Amino acid sequence: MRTKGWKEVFKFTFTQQVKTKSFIISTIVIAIIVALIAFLADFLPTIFLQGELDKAERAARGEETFTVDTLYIDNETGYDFKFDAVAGAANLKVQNITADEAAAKIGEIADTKERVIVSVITFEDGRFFVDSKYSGGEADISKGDCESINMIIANGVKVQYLMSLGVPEDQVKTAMSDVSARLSCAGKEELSGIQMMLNSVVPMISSIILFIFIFSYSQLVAQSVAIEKSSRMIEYLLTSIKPFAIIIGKVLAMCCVSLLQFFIIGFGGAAGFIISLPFGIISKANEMMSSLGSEATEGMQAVGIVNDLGNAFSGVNASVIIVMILSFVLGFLFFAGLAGLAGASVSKMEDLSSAIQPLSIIGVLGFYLAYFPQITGEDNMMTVLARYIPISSPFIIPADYLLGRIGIVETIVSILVMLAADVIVMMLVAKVYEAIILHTGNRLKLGDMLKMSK
Amino acid sequence: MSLVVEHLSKKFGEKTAVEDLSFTINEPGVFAFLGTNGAGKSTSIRMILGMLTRDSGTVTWNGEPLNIMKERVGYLSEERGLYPKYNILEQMYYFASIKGVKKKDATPAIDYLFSRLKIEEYKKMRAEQLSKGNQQKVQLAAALLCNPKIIILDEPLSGLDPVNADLFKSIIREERDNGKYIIMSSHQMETIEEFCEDLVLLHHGKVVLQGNLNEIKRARGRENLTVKADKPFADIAAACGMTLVEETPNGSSFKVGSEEAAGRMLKEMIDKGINIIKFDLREPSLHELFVEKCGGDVNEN
Repeated sequence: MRTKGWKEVFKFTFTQQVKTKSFIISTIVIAIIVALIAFLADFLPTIFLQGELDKAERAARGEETFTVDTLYIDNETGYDFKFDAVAGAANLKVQNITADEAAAKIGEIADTKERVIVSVITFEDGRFFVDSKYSGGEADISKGDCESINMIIANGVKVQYLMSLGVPEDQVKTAMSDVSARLSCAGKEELSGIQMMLNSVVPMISSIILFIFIFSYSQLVAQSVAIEKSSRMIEYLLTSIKPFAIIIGKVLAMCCVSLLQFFIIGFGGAAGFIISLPFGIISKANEMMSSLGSEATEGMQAVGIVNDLGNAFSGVNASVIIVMILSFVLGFLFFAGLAGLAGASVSKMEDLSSAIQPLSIIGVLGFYLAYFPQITGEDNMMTVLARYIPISSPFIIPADYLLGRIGIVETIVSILVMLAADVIVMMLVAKVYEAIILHTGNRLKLGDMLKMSK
Repeated sequence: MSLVVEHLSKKFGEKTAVEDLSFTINEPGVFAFLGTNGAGKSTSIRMILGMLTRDSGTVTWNGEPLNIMKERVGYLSEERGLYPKYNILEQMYYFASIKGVKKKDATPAIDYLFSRLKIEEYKKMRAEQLSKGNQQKVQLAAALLCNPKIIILDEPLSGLDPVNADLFKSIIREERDNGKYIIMSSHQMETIEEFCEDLVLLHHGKVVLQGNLNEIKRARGRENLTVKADKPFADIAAACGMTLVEETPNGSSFKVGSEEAAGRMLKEMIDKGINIIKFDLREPSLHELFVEKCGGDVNEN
């Protein structure tokens, strides 16, 4: 049996690797950083978006207050407009003034602590104009609030004008409401801004993470093989175990170590998120949504963002996790198998970096093949190729499947291609590794390795 | 039980590394496997162990092809190594596990061997923290860990100080007395003569000397003579047909044509009143046989 003893190699390699200081420290540090990021990602928006949430909630309840105390209106239109509704909606005092008073008031509020708006409403050439000035100087007044009040006045003018023409109130409401205009491509789901952003960011981040894990641990396989060879350990091992069993045990052990680290870091992120829940934006938004019920409006942007985020990740289910793990494992076997050969081609540790260089180039090429198409977010020939080429598919498939860019059939085909590539790599490893593992001397090039394995 | 190696051959490209190597070890003991550097010893050992594919030849143990996956074989390679960063004890358990020895059985064996080799205190250290000699002891312990019936020791004493060399020798003796089949390669001919009865000597991949060491020496006869005296005796030696090999402070060394000629020379010297300090007629040493078969004349240009 060529693989007899692989379990012992696996067990030893796995336990020794997880006991190394570098593994323990890097895992703990990265897990803490990821936990912090997850915590802050949920918690920080409560600081930045809290105002928006509160405002949206007050607006929905009709309890919104503005940083304006008094609204002076100079109505030059000749129409008898009333602005009591503005006073009610914005909780402020409304006072009608003349043109002279308005001019004087505007002069006064240029440098004042009073929180005041002066609005002059005119009608020229069949159009209404609302020209408002707000307090300058040290007045604690929000420009955003002033803009909101200005819009309320403008809408009030429009509504009252229509009503003065005898248009019934319900028809005025219809006329005043925004016309919802949407444009989308037939056969494609319309995505919100946040979802579009996530569709670009998630695959990019996923490609980077998968590349880092697969590649760094593949290099550890090469290093481990080279250490055994350069320290002459391999001679001893080969008295009890076949070379193929050694490389299989080593590759699988490193694969499990990297998965373990990946999951520990993932759990760190999940823990950080769970800890943040009582204080985080998601729970606050949810609380608000449940308390407001039908009063929650489309205008509540903060809530919308949270909902979009939630929707974007709602696709993470068991099948996505399985695809992710399969892609990772198959991608790892491919690169680690080749890395093992690179490690076996050297007799001295100092030759290892040059031996790994060709594999690094292949890996980086595969990564960019997977990464660049994500920037456009559109399917093109490059994206399709990247999904079925074994050097790039492990980095692209999980995110594409998560985001629904590819279906289960395409995913399975891609995984089968990866599997076939792994079988070929492992057959190559079995043949070449045995032939070169006892070679000492100069670093072997690919041609030498193939020649020796004949 | 016997270990039979028959017609082993190996070529690397056009270069013949080993050509038609055959030998048999019929009973427990230490078998000498000798050769110059690059003679093909390590290649032969690797072929015997099945690490390297043979171009031709067979290796049988008890009449069956030797399978090191089934038969426990202890091996101390010439180019030794341990995992530099890993704990010694954990490495020993790993070596035991790949030999099919369970931890509970390995523990007493490790304890015994480490105690015997006086390295108990290094168990929990990393290999890189140990001296070369102590690493060598750990490696010998690893080779003997599975209580192997066949032991292959490639240059076991190289690099050891005299105290540790004696310790290694005592362990090799102990293994021999326990009925082990030991193949030992060494460049220390005195050690080989101390342990081995049978030998094979390789030169450029070919067997140039083989058989029982005592029989080989006996067949050659007493042909080496060392003489030291208080007066010159070169003319007597020449007259008796002696060939001068070298002159040292310990005396003059000759190759003798026959034991009778040596006796004649002794008589002549006594008759001429020469006071003889040393007159030593002996069989060739293994060192001399080795140099004769493999070295040619080192003084030749």
